[in-house]
Amino acid sequence: MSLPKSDSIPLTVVALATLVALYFTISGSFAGASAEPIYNFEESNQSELFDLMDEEFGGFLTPKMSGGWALQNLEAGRDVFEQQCIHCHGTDGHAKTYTAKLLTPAPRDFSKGVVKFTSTPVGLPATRDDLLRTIKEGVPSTSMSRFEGSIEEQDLQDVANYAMYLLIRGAVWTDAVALLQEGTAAEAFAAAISEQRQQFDLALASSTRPEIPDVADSTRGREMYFDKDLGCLVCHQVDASGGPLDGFDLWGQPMVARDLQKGELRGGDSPADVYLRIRNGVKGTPMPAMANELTQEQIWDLVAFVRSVQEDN
Amino acid sequence: MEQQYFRLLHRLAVAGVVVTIALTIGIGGTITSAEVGMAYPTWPDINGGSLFSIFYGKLADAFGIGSVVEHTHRQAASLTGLIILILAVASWVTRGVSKNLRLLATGSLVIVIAQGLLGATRVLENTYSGAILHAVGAQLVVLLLVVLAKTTARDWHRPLQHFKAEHVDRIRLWSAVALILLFLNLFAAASLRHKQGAFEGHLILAITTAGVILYLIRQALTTFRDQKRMARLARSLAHILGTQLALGAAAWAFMIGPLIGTFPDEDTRFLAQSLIATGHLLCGVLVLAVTTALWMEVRFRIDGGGRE
Repeated sequence: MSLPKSDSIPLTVVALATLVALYFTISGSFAGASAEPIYNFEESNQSELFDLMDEEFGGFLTPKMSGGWALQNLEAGRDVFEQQCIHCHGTDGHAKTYTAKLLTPAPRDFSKGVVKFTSTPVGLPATRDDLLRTIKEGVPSTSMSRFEGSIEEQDLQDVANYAMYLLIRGAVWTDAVALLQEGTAAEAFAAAISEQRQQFDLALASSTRPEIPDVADSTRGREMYFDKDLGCLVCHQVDASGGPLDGFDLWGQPMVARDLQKGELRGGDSPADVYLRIRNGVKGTPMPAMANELTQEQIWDLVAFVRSVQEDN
Repeated sequence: MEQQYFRLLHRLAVAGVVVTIALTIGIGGTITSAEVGMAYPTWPDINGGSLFSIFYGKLADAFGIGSVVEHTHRQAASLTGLIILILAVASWVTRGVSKNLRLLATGSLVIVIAQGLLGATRVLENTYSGAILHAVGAQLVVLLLVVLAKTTARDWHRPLQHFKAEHVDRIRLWSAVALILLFLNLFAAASLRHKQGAFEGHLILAITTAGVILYLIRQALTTFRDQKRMARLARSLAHILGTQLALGAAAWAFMIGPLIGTFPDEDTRFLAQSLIATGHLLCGVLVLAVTTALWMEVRFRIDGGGRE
């Protein structure tokens, strides 16, 4: 086949247009169509409170935080969130997207200021590193997949900052709304900010990843598991197969006690992860923190039992 | 590519085209539109459940509707793979099948296996680059199946048609250019859908590709005006291209353009956007399939040595 001469000019035009288009595709960045969420507040003082929130935290698309929170690169983190997270967690982190409706369990809603799996004691919020760990490693048996290796380390750090920003923002909002009944919006907001700053600092100071001991006794752990006073059996059952529970968690989702035979524990399967779940509980659910009921050694024995159940099955 | 007519091979190839476009790509496109590609982050099974499980209600209860969409996509993809596997085996065990056709069928099997593994990588590694390559790979499978369907068709071996060399060369050239552009545009569109590429890239390529295909249609209708089969192909391409351009304009207007805020509620917005985006994708695959058929005709069935 010979190239018709009259076609050489249009062919050149097509080639040039293609090169320009490929340049845009490969080097250009996606400009999303996200818009700031619109809220219709039933009470006027909530609207006033939201304005104060905006002043302190900026819009969801233009995040900012005044000093003290130690969260950097929020704009960059928001960009990563837009690309990787927004379809499930939503622009405002409230997880009210349509995709979220198609998933079980539902993606985490940050508006309560609480996440389930933390390294901090009961009553304290998650740290940024807790969020980073979940983002990096994912949540087994759910749609929250691991992002370590699939996006750059810096992006992981930035998006963890932005997720923490959403969590703090959510916690301040929840606190302030509760305090609205006791004073003006400005007073409620100031008190909520102060409380959350304190919680944030305490969480950072108390967050620990445990050292794994050389010896732990699964037999003693088994005895504790079957100890009616501790209550493990009530939810996880005699055969440790767990199952559905009555009621709903903090986010309004049906609750299921984890099947310890199957493993795939959502907070992680490693001994340190299981230790933290027993010591700190699973926040927003009936899984209680055992930090006051059990010694460190006893918790490790229980960890050994939980892991032996997985290994036996 | 001279062949006898092999009914089984042809029927398998046609079934492969239908299953791949209507089911595998249709459901795959829905997954991207609904952004539930990671609803089911294990592969090939879901947390101990079988790939061949048909207990969709149970799956929806345990992992949500999104995981059912992903599950059925994998089942449809398995069906595509099975059809191509049977076709490849049949091409080797059937007597009289040419070496070229056997190699083509075997190559298609290799490509579809690679495509399945690419899908697995996309899920297990959670990468957008894997998702984009997986989307483009699906179009390659369609192209190969169309080529197989054409070369095994009964009328593939009718005598060659003779047309003026210059006209035939031009149509051969521009149909090949159209195919290359369609693939590049599919890459740009997949990048856009996975939020990795700028809209401008897809827009420029869409306009360029549409221009080339319109020119190709005009040339084909002029050159082959007395040849019913070719004229029908060209007209089909025109209709599908028109629909595709309309869907493209709607996708832009309702997804990132001025009509994005016109939906009464979030559910309607999501449903409408998903339908438009998936329809646009499927129509794009049809444009590719018909352009491939046109290219096959002018490349192998039309002789450019005749007189006008």
